[in-house]
Amino acid sequence: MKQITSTLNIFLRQEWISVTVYFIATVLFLFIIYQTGVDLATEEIEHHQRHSLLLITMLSIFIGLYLGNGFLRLQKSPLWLIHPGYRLNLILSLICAAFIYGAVQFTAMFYAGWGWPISLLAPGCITLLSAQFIIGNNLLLKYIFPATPFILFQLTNYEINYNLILLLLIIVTSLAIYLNASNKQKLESWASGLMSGNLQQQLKAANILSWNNKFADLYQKIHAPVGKSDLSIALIQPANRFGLSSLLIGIFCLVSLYFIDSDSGKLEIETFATMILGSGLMGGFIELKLLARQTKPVAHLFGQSQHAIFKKKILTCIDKHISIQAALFIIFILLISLLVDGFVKPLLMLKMGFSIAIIGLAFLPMMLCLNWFNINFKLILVMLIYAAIAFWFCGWIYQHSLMDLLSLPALLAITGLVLIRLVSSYLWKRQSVEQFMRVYG
Amino acid sequence: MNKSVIEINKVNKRYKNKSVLADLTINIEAGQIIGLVGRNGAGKTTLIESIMGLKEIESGEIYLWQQKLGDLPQKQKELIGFVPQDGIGFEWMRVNQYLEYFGGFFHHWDKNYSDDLIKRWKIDKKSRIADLSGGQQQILQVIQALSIKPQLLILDEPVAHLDPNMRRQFLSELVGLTCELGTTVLFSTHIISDLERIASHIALLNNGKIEHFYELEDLKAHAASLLFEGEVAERQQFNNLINWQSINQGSKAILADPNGPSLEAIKQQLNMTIQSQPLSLEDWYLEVTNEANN
Repeated sequence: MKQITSTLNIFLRQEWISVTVYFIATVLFLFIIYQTGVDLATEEIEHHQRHSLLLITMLSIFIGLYLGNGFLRLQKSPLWLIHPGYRLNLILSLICAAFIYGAVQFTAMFYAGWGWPISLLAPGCITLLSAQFIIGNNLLLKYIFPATPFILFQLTNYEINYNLILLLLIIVTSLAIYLNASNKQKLESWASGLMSGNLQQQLKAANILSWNNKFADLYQKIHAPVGKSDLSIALIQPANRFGLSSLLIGIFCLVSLYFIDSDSGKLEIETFATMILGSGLMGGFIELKLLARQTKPVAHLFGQSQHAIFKKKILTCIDKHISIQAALFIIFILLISLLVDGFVKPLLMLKMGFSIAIIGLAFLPMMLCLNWFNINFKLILVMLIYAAIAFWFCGWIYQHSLMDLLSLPALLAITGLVLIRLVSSYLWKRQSVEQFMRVYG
Repeated sequence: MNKSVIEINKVNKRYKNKSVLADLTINIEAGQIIGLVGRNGAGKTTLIESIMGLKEIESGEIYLWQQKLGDLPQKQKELIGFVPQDGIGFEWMRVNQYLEYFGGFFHHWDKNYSDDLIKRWKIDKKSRIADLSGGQQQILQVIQALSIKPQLLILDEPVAHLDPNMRRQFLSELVGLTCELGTTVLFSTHIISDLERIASHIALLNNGKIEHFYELEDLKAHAASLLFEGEVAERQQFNNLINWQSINQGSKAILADPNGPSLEAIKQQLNMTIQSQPLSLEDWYLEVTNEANN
């Protein structure tokens, strides 16, 4: 038990302070959303419940990614391979941590009218499933399992009871945990890396690595990585350069939209957009922060006052990357809509792609300043503002036509985003290179 | 007198409440090869990364070639080769791509020299970096730093993963380069024998300061374990003698600082027989670090 407690402390990083901060953030976030999103007097209780479930799912995904990161670091130890007790300890600690965060959300869910079984168990299960995005060692675990909660919740459209859905969720979670626990071969490759495992291994599962390497060869054929000041090569993995992340987000969107019935609308779209922004861009920023230390041997070349040129170059290449990804995402969706008639709503996806791009660009410099490896107050605050803006903006876009982008509220919103961009650029300018290069802690 | 290449004045750096560099001052002149030693966590990497501008110092000044770190012209910056401690990265790249990529950042990049080193150190150009061993990855970083033909080379534990053969080759390459170009080298290491082989000076970092900074030959000539035939009462007057011990009808001490009174002067002052035994560099290091932590 003592061992599990100390492993838990490592998972929760800032120990129990993060749970407190997270609790406050959960309550605050739900309060804001209830105040602005749903009119309790007019909306049906079912809609209200559904709303809270989507929000809890989003928060649990956020936590799951963090716990997955902590788990992955501890999984690197050779003890994982040779000591069954260590493996059991890690797995139990992960489950405990997920359900501690789940318990924090219990009040909010119970208040929203859910029964105690789902309030108690669903957030923990969703957290464990989203952690698979980081710790999963194959495509099934890495991409399909994290998406299952959302797919399962859409089964209510087919009049399937929530208790049955919860049961399915528990079964899927147990399967994921079982697959994690029986994973003994993947870690062999960790041992061959440098002290803490190499960067690629920190970022991707083994089969994703081989894709990345194939993309790297292709990239080399198209564009030799020569040329002064091309820092982007050091900061973005070749696979993502080719839009792999956009493609995966696009698939996630399509799967999700398939399960949305044609009448449901604004709420789901708002939540989708926020989730896509959260998961898609957050993964990108974590990757970027991990890769940043690759620039160490050349950082001094841009080392004038406060490394201004260095930071400017980094910002420019990430700006370009986000814009290209957004464009690829839109093209991908439009192509699918042309090929499969009536499968997706192309105009809606176009508007969402646009929103994702401009909100992403507005927040991007601020995101570069954050420590993505510990849950901390600054990170939660920025994520909340980011999510709230995405939620509101995408909801607004859903309800209005493209021409309405020229209306006064839209222009005011875009001006607001420009202001956010200016403030966040200022923060990035002030950010020290030391903080940027720091991976953990 | 040689021109100063690195000048550090009263630099301070803290991590939260822990002071890592405390009023650290050192002056490194052109052509010197400085071996930076110190216990784990002494602040070697912090010092090196501060010189590279990767760590923000709280106070003090760092000058490279008599110019403030931030004001260094681009051409000068490109004459600095740096090997950081924390691994190579770029696992997806192949060896030749990696070198080509870094070559693009430096005007003085010598492709022939890098090809030559790759061949001599038997690294397959077509290999992916992820498939190289830890030692080969470290060698590749060193090749990248050497191929700049640097005027200043800063290496953070460059030989930690290398086998003795590779270490020998690397060290002789380093000596060749310094002779050819007059390169100034600052490297941190825990392998004292390597330092003994190539360094012109040794700098020992302890308690946030460079506590000992000597010409290596000078230190090797003077560092000794001394056996006094009688008890020495006023030990504190010999500030270059450390780790005093009373033994059977006598005393024992270590002569750690070649800049203090010489052995002859001590003999004359105490008017007693002193047996002297030369101290290896490793023993000297152990004695001074033990003394500093007692």
